[in-house]
Amino acid sequence: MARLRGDFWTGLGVVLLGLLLVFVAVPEGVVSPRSVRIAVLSPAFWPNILAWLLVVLGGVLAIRAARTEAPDPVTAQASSGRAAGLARLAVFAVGVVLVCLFATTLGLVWTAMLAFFGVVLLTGTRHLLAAIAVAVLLPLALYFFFNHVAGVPIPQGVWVRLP
Amino acid sequence: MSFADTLVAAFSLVAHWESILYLALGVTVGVVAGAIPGVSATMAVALTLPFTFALEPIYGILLLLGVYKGGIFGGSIPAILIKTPGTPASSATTLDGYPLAERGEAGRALGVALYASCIADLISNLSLILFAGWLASFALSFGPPEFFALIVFSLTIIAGVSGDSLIKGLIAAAGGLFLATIGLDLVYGTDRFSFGDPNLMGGLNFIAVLIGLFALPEIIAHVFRAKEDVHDPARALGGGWATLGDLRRCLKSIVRGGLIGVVLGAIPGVGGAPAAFLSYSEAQRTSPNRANFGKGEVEGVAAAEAGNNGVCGATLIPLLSLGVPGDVITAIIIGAFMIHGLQPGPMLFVTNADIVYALFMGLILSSIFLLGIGSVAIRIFRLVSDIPKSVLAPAVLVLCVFGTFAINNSMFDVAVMFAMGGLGYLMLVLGVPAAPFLIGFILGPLLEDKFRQSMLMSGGAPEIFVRSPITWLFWALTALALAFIIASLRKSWRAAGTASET
Amino acid sequence: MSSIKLGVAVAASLAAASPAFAYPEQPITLVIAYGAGGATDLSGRALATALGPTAEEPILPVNRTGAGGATGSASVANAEPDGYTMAVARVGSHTVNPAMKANLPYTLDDFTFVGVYEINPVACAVAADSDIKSMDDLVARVEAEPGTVSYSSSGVGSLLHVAGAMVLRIYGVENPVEAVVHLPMKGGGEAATAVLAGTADFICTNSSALSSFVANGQLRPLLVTTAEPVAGFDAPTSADLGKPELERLVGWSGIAGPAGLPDDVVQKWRGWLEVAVADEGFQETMGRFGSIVELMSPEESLDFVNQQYEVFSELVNELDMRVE
Repeated sequence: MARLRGDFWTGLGVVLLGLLLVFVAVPEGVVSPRSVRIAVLSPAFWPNILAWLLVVLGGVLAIRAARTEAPDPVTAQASSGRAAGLARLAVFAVGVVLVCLFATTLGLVWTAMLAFFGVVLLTGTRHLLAAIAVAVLLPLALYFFFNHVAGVPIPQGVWVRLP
Repeated sequence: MSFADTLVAAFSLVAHWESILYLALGVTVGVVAGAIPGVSATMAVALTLPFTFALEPIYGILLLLGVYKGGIFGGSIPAILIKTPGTPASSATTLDGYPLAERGEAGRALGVALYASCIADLISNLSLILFAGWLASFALSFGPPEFFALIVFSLTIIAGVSGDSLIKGLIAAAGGLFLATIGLDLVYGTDRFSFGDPNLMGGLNFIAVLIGLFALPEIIAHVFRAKEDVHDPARALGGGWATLGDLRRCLKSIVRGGLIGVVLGAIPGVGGAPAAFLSYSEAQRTSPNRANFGKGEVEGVAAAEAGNNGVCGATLIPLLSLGVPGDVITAIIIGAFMIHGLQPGPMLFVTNADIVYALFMGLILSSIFLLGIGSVAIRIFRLVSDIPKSVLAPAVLVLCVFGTFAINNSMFDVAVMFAMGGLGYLMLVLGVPAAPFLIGFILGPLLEDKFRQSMLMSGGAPEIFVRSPITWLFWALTALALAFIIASLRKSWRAAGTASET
Repeated sequence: MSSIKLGVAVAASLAAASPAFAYPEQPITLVIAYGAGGATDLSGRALATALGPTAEEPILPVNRTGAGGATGSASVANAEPDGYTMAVARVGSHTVNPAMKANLPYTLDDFTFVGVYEINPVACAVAADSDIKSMDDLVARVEAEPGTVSYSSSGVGSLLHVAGAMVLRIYGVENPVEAVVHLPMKGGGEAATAVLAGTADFICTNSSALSSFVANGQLRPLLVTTAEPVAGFDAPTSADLGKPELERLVGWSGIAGPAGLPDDVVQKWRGWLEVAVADEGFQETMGRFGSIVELMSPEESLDFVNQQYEVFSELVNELDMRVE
């Protein structure tokens, strides 16, 4: 039943998202010119249609999930592993934000090495030596490829500059 | 100069060891670059362009074409091995390619992808050589209303790639369509969801969305599970090679995919990704192995790869016969023509016929090179499937960050990629398929722009959408596809009904 | 976000490395706000190639596309003015856009112009099989059947958008915005294709974008906006037509940095550009596009750009074409 109940909440979430788009995001986010001669040409026309479509489709999903009573093949995961997994995801999310904020200050190469180690620490590995080697060599190789072969300037950061 | 003289002159242009060398070099560069996630075929061609300035025109153009073809095939390598389409056109390849790799049949999937690519490429090149003039006039009769009808028809693909829940597929597609509305409005130039941010004004970068949606959820799922894959001996082998039987089984889908690619490639502005998806969904609709699609069916890989490589030669049809770029890549190639003082268009066949025929020979040759270089590349790259997941996942993450950054030299794109990764993971958990979302995102701008351009042309009168036989054709095809979808839905409901009764 | 940070990072490393000013010490990023293979891209890359032997550090052209050139231009406007992030300024992104768009995230004051190096004439054209044979035919049809004639452009706020309206205005059409339909396409290639396919009736754009179609006999040029004839264009010039106002409608490319660029950097670039425009290969490439290589000093460039801006602003206000 978990999956079906899940579908019900998914559908409801989509309905809410659609309503949010219709009543908040589109009026706030779409600037329409003073006069639009042909109504279907308004910049808000398509976004509105799509937002309403989401409302309707989400509604259909929720109603069908609520009415169907089929056995559910998916069983819920063990809750202890789940909590640890969610914790890891939270750490990962924080890491992602840090990467986006500091990659240009620290230098993309060093950030990538740290991020690699971070992920390995988070998940654990049975191949630690290989992981360390790849963590160091891969960003360097990519840097040399992009900077010197492809002519794409990779952010170098404030502290250590590579040739 | 007679035709025979032209052919001789063309042959003497191609038959230099330099032409062969540059073509081979181009294909190699393309395959390798395409295999790096984030470095799409477009980017590989753009990066190669400056190197051609100093070369003879024919060498420069052969080099670029080699990169183009190699890049489109190369994109399928990471699509199969790490579920990261190396180039947008290979997103459809992940649908069946990755499940095959998971089952330890990466070698087989890659082999089928290569054969499909080469055969479709050949079909495409032959169509270019034989039917360029005819297909070009067909392409020119595609105004905005015809285009709109074609895109509406293409949206019926969604049913084929939705997995078990059509309604969830539709939700995903609507989400993708909505996301594509971010950016400056086409007709009025006003802000839509960009809130004055210059990064958002151009809309979300396609490749950043693609990588985020396909590659990142796998990595996030790995972080969640944190389990080293139990070393599966089958997977470790990277698995076997495509057999002749595989090829025979897929041949029909490959030829059909190639032809779909040719038709869509000849129309300026469609590109490889819709062709691959359309070819995939057609194969799925007609295949005897229908039920296996999406779970690791070689025919699915073959159809997708045939669709995107079928586009390669055909995009040169509008380029050579009209001087019009069919997609971003051919726009760059036109730049290369111009820089060498060649003006693509009908007169090119008169003024520089030797170059045109030399190009044709080079193209045919490139299909053969692709087969050779591709099979070497596969043998090397499939070792990737032996890398343990705990090392592979962070490595893919680093590749994605570098590749996404390099598209526009922008950390904003990297942030978009991560955000889409979060969304993609959420969708994975909720069982909402990602492929329809991507199709919506690709086709969304075309659908809206062509609709609005048509409305501008007609002053708001809807009759314009049925103005020509081409529009009628696509509306009829749309109706047929819808009827088919409804029929198969009813069948599956009835099947579900009897199953629950027993 | 990115470029600001990049700029800050670069500036900081510069400050740390040497207190005395020595430019350049590291590769310079040259942002091209339009796509690879387009006229701006080819022009910018040809210039970067010509600068290669002169400049002490590599100059790396980078395409940063989106929003009709606004995304890339804004990234330079927001960068640190240290000379390591420069832009290829272009008529669309640096005069038409600022004149038309209130929602543009930058103004001309956000840039330091170091030199305009290329001028290209604008030409108007129709499909070869069109029954419009001359500008007079076109104007007559616009006035006889308002709302039935359309022109294509590469988007709102592009040179093409304003050029179509401006030419008709010069020809005395009272309100071109109402009288003709503007069909925005995605990019210059699509805009030209639209005329070729009969989707739109005419197009006014850089002669370089039309030259191959004209040479192939697919499009028929109606006029060029320079007083001198343009090679390959068998069409009346502004002098032939007796309309010197048309000469104000030209395309151009130049180099610009963020506002507040140090004078040393400006002078350095001025010296580089003088050498680069004299380069034979560069002149040859530009010649193929029908462009006139003409280097202006930083002061002349600024005057030129401002003057162009005024011309377009005036038209935009008069025709109420401003985008909110």
